[in-house]
Parts: sequence; structure tokens; C-alpha cells
Amino acid sequence: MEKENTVLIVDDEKVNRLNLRKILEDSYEIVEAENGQQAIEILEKEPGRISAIVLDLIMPVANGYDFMKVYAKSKTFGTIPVVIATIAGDVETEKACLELGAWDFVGKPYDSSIIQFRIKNVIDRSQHQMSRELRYRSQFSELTAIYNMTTFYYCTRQMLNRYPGEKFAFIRMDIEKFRLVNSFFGREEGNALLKYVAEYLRAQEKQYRHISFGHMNADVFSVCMAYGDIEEIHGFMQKMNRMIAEYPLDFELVITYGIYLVDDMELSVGEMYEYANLASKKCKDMYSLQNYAFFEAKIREEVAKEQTIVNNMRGALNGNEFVLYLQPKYELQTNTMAGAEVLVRWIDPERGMISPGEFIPVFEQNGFIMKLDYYVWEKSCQLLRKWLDEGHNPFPISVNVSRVSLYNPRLAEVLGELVKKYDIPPRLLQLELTESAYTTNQQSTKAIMSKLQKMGFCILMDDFGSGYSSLNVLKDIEVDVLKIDMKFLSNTENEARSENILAAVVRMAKWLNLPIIAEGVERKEQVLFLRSIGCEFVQGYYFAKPMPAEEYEKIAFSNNNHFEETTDETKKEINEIWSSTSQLELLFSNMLQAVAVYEYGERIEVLRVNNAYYDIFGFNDINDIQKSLSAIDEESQKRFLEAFEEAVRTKDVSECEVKRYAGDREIWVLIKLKYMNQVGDKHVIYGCLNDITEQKEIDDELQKYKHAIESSQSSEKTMLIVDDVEINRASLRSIFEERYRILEAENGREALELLEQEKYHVDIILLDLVMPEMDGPQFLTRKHQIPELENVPVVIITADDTTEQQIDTMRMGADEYIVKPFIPEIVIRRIENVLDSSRSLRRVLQESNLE
Amino acid sequence: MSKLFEALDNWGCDVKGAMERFLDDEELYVTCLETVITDDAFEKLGVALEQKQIQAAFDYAHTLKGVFANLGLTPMFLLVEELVEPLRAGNGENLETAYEKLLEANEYLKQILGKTAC
Repeated sequence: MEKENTVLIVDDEKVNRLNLRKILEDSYEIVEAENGQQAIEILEKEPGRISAIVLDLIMPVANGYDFMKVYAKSKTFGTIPVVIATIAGDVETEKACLELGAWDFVGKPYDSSIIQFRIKNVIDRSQHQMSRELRYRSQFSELTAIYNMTTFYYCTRQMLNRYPGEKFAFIRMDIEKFRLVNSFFGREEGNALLKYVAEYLRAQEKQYRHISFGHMNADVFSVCMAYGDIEEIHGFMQKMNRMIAEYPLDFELVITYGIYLVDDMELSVGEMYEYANLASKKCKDMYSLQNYAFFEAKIREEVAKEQTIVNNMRGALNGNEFVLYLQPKYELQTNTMAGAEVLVRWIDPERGMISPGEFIPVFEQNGFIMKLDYYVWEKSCQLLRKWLDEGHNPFPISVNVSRVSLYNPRLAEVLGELVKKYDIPPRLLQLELTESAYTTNQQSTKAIMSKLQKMGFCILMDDFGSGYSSLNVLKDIEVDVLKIDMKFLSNTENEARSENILAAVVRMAKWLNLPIIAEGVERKEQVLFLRSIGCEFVQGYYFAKPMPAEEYEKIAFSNNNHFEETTDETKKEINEIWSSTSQLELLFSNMLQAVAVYEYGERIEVLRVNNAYYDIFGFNDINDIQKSLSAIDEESQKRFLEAFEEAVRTKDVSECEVKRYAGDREIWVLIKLKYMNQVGDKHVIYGCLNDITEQKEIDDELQKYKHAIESSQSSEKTMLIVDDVEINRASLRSIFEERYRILEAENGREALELLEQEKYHVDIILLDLVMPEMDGPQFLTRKHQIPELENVPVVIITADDTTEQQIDTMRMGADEYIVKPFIPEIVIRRIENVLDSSRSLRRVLQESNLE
Repeated sequence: MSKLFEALDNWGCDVKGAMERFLDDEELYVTCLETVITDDAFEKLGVALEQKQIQAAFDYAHTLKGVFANLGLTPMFLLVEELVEPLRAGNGENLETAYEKLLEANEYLKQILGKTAC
């Protein structure tokens, strides 16, 4: 009969071993070791096999005491019960045994029944303890001691079934910027906060009729509660808000709520969670105007729509359903064509034209945008080649480079290879990068851009002004052209203010010698205005809509590529404005840009200021200019004077940032000076002033954030990505690089080398299956032979989501799998699940030998 | 077999207790007795005593004590105890006689086993 449990007998005396074997062999499998060292080797090799250890104390080569020292520290076998064999009546030794962590002892000469009884007892106890621990761990969050996701789902289901007449709300909660709490204050503080939230939830239990709650993962909690009217839910959130605000931490803690009012009891609790999750994402998109959002059917439709897009995207690419459209750009002063932006349209044979607004965000999220980008670049090169072959002298056309593509470290090479393949001068293929791409990954973006510029590509900064740190970006990164979207400006209620901003941007661009293209130009007034402020290029429906290539060719290569304006009154109107003193006065006074006219001689005097100046500094300021100069702090005064000297010396422009006081308020001002003319021995200088206090504060915040990220990086986990396809690695890297230190390998062999170099200090491995040299399964076999990697989880990268694949994955000894194309939320969740819960559960399972 | 057990009994051994420990497996018990008479712990104990290696001498004596206890070899158990206790206290002096007596007892056991061999 196969015996359930195995006992390891450790004794140097053969006679004693034979004796013990005789006593125990009817009930247990027996394994023998002659000394402590041998015992450790057996236990490390097969920790799950041994249920109890009978240990002699006096032995050569690692005696019982030596063994117990290792045992006490061992995570692999430190929970297996040890019974020490000692000579009967030796009380000192018996005490020492228990201090060492032994579970019990038996005296020599042996009594067979006592030995059998003691061994049975310790094995029962250890298994009971293990299963209790296992049960606890499988039901409760180890950290917060409230239900984990599985148990919460189960109990919620029970509750919903039990009270079918009640209305229920499913609420998902997470703490905004929780990672920063960990970064700023340390993980222990973060954990204490989570425990505090869990404790509060527990205290709420009695306040509600029917409620269930659980800790999902990281900083995410869920609650399902019965409610009478919606106010009850708001009341709950208000209480939670108060609770978190009272938490004694020098950090603004905010909880975000995603709420699904359960309208379909048939849904699984997991689906309810997903709905609440979608709602909470929506509220995050709203830029914190409110910290909660309810799930609406619309969201479900959006998800379904997105899924259709994902399902069809590959076929569409292969079937050439993505069609290039070109929108011409014009030079504004002459109205002549100057090039075009390449846009993409998805023409689905069944659904017709799908708006880029629908599919681009989805592609950006799942990384497919990289493929689409490349497709558009190649098609654009083919167009240019065709035009060159036909003997035309084409205008440059610009293509978009998405943020995700920027993560490809070979971007410059890829584009270089393309223009080489089609033999296109790089200047003809202009590259449009959105501003947000510059802000998120500045160092690498800067390096890639400068490489591309050296190769001859022209770089356009798209959507300039849409991010909040545009000025900083311009300071650090050299672009060739700025593009500003009129739509962005017209979003504000105050159009005059928008125009002022645009005028300021154009002026600034001129100071930096950057050409500027205004896009989204739709109305004649906009054209007049743009011309008046000296904007050089325009693009928009007013001039031409995006059009198929054939149509564009007709216009671009005809002699008549001028844009004909309807009337010539424009110039007259502008001249009137500028010639009329009273209107100019009005314009000056009412400009929203704060402006001052200075006279600079022996000292600086303010000749006049406009209304916006008062808005910044108050009305008293101008009355005493000397006072206003003394309001500038000492260091800033030096910069202020230097800027004036520079403007006078160069008879051109200069700028400086100064810190000063307006009343008792400390503000930062960016002053741009423009030399006007000389009157006698004095110089007239025109100054534009911008209150950049907020910008400075944001910069400071960003710096703080950056430091926090940098300091947390050292303690961050390490992830190894093993995949032969560079684009897959790049895509995963972009998802995880803020959370992990990333290592990359192209195949199993390279991964093993890298792991050895890193002394096996890696927390998780993402593994592709099909690779040259050494594939995924071969790598896994080798990994299992390396003890240091025993507890390092492996997540398989696969394109196959079937049950068979899941089973195969688990059979290979992997912990999880992720499916291509990568959906960031799912991938992140899976990886965190693996790291947070399944690993510890697995360990317990292995130790208890119940798997 | 009974002759052997009788001889051991007469010598003062606890054969009955030993048989309980060996679950009445007489053959295994005899194998163990035959193993113990050639145990190199006897010799190593002698060397350790001679070289005044107190800890090592204690270990060997202690090991033998446990074995004798399990095999019910009471006369030998009592003899080795005379070595174990002084050694435990760190005293290795004047133990030659006790050790000689232990060797003699082992010789006696060999004789019993030889004479009564089946």
C-alpha cells in the first residue's frame, strides 16, 4: 500500500536507524540520512516529500544542533516537524531541543508506541496548521486581513442571491497616486494606509443592511452594498472621503470611485467589477473634476465598439483598408501650397469610413499604432517615389510618429531604411511628433530626434500648447517647426484670450526662429487674425480638406496651386486697425497679455502698462516703479537688468524669469523684452509679462515627482523580457518601464547568460515560446535546474488564448500567460497578480505538499 | 535463538524490552547485535580518550549509550555511563579502567553471539 507520509530518520548509528525504521515502516515511507549535512541535502532536493524528521543530536559532520540552526532559518523545510531522539531523562538536552525549534522529542531506549504516537501527532498538527494557513491565505488578503478578491466575489454572489428584491451598488475604489505614497514615505507607510482603509471598511460593516467588501490588489478595494436611494451611495463616499482626509500623512489622499448600479443580477461578480472599473477609468479621464463616476450603458457600447476594432484591425491592415489622405498646407502670405500632412482613413467594406478618432486611441492603447505608423510611412514613401519617378518636384509631406513608435529604440534606423529603400531625400518625409511624447520620455526622445535630424529629417512638433510644459520642452528639445491646433484654442469660452495666447506663441516662435503652422483653420476670421500676427503656414478646411492622393496630385502638380481667397478686403481691414490710433489704443489696453512699455537710460522707467498688467500686479504697482523694482528679489533684479542690457545691445529680443512680490503674494514672471527704438539717449523697450507662478509650481512638482521616481527606481523590481521580436519587447517595455527595471533578451540562451550576469536577481520573467537558438520550453527546463530561480515566476507571452494553451502553459511550470496584442491594463494586472498572490500561494501549496 | 536470549538475560540484558522495540523481529535484533560488536565507535572512543579529546570521546560514548539502551544491553549501558558522565563534565582523567571494562564486556558479547550462533 502506498504510504501517505514520509519520515526522514537522521542518525549516524545504523543500529538506531534500523530500529526506528522497524518501528515506523508499517505506517510511513522511510528515508535515512547519516548526518545533518545529508539530511539538509535531501530536504532541499525534495522539501515537499518529507512529513516529519526524527533527528539524533550527536553525529559527525553537522550534528543535530548544526542541523537545527539551518532548519530554523530555512524557508524550504523550516515548517516540517522535527522530533529529536535523545537519551531519556536528559532534561537539559530536552529544553535545548525545544529552544532550537524542535516540535517534540523521544527518549532512548525507544518505546515503539510512544514514537509512533509522537510522529503521528506532529504530522497531523503540521498538516492542520498548514491547511488552516492555506485556507486563511486563500480567503483573506495577507496584508489587510479582509476578504481577498476570490472570497469577496463568492460572498457578494451569496449576498446578491439571498436578497433578490434589494438594489445593490458595486463600488470599486482606489487611492490616487498611491505609488507616490510608497515612493515618498516608503512601503511600510503605504501598507499602513491600506490597513487603515481596510479597518475602516470593517468598522462600516454594521452601519449597512447588506454589505460585502474586499481587498482586490495593491490599492484597490471593492464594496457591494444594498441601497435605498442614490444619496446613500453618496453618503458612503463622503464618509470614505472624510476618513482618508483625516489620515495623518502630509500628502493629499484622494479615493477614486467607479460605481456600477447593479441592473443585471445575472452578471458574474467579476463582470460587475469590470463595469465599475470602466467607470473609474472614465472618472480618471475627467481630470479630477470629480472623484467618482457611474457606469453607463454607453461605456459598455464603447467597449464593444473597441473590441470590434481590435478584432478587425489586422485584417484591415493586410487588406489595405487603411487609405492615405493628404491635407495640403499653405504659405499664408502668398496662399501657395507648401506641402501636406498625411492622414489615415479606415475604409471598411461593410461599415464604411471609420473615424480616426475611433480607432487611433484604441491602437495607441494596444500598441497596434506602431504597425499602422509603419504602414503609413511606407505608403507615403511609395507616393513620393511615384511622384519623383513621374518627374515632379513634390512638396514635403509629413507623417505622424505616435508616442508608442517613439519607444522603438530603432526608430531612426527603421525610417532611415525606408527612405533608403525608396531612395527618397529624407527632407521630403517630415515627421510629426505630438508634444506629449516629448514630455513623457524626454531623454530618449531627444536622442532619437537629434539622430533623425542628423539624417536629414525635419521634425514638426504637433499639437503645440496642448501639454502644460510646452515652454520647458522648447528649451530642451530642438524641433524644426511648431504646429498649433486652432481647435485647442477655440475650446475656451473667451476667444479673445485664445487669440492672445496664439499671438504670444507665434511671437515666441519667431524669437526662436521656428516656423509655425496653424492647423484646424476653418473660418475666414481666423485667417485674417493669423495673418495679422505673422503666422507663416496654415492647414485646415478653410483651405482644403484631407483628400485622396489622386486628388492631391491634381492640385499639387498643376500650375494653379494657389488658394484663391474670396475677397481682398482683408488687407484693408488690417490696415485700418493698425492705422487707427484710437483702435490701437483699445487693442493695447484690452489685450489679455500683460504688456509694459519701458524707457531705459540711467534707470528703468515704466512708460505705460495695459489692463492685463494690473491683473497680475494690482493697481498700486505702477504708481511707484521704483517700488515695483524693489519688489523684485535681489537675484532676479540682476537678471532683469541683464535682459534690458541685452535687448539694447542686440537691438533685438531678450527674456528673463524674475521672482517678485505683488502685495504679499510671491509670484514668478516671465518677461520678454523687445527693443523698439531710441529716443535721445534713452531706449524704448516693449515688454510682455506672463505670470508663470503656476508653471513654476508645476515644474517643482514635476521635479519632486521625478526625484521620487528616481529614488524609488533603485528599490524597484526587475523584469526580464525574453522575446525575439523587438517590437514586442519595446511594447512590453513601454508598459512596464515605470514600474520595473527592465532587462531584455532575444532568446533563451541570451536570457540565461543575462541572468547569470545579474546573479539571478530578477523578480519576474516574461517569456516568448517560439524563439531561435533556445525556445521558451527549453529555457523553462534549464530554469528549473537553477535553484536561485526556483521562486521567480514566469509569464508566457503567447498569441493563443485557448484553454489548451493555458493548460500547456501551466504544465510547463509557468505561472501565467499574457496574450498578444498586449492590452496594458490586463498585462499589468496579470503580472501584478502573479507577483503579489499566486507566488505566495504556490509556495504554501508546495510546502504543504497538497498540490 | 532462545539460547542466545537466555544467555543475554542471564548476563542482565533487557531482552524483553528490546524485543518490544524491534516489534518481535528477532532476526533484525540479532543483526543489530552483530553490528554493534564491530562498531568502530569502540575504537574511536579509545583513541579520543588516549589523546584527551574530551568532546569527541563524549560523542562516541554518548552514541554507544543510546545504542546499548535501544538494544537492551544493560550491562554495557551501565559501563558506558561511567564514561559519559565524567566526559559530559569535561573530565577525561582516569577513565582507562572503565574503558577496559567496556571492551571486555564487548568481548563477552562477542563470545555469547559466537557460542550461540545458529
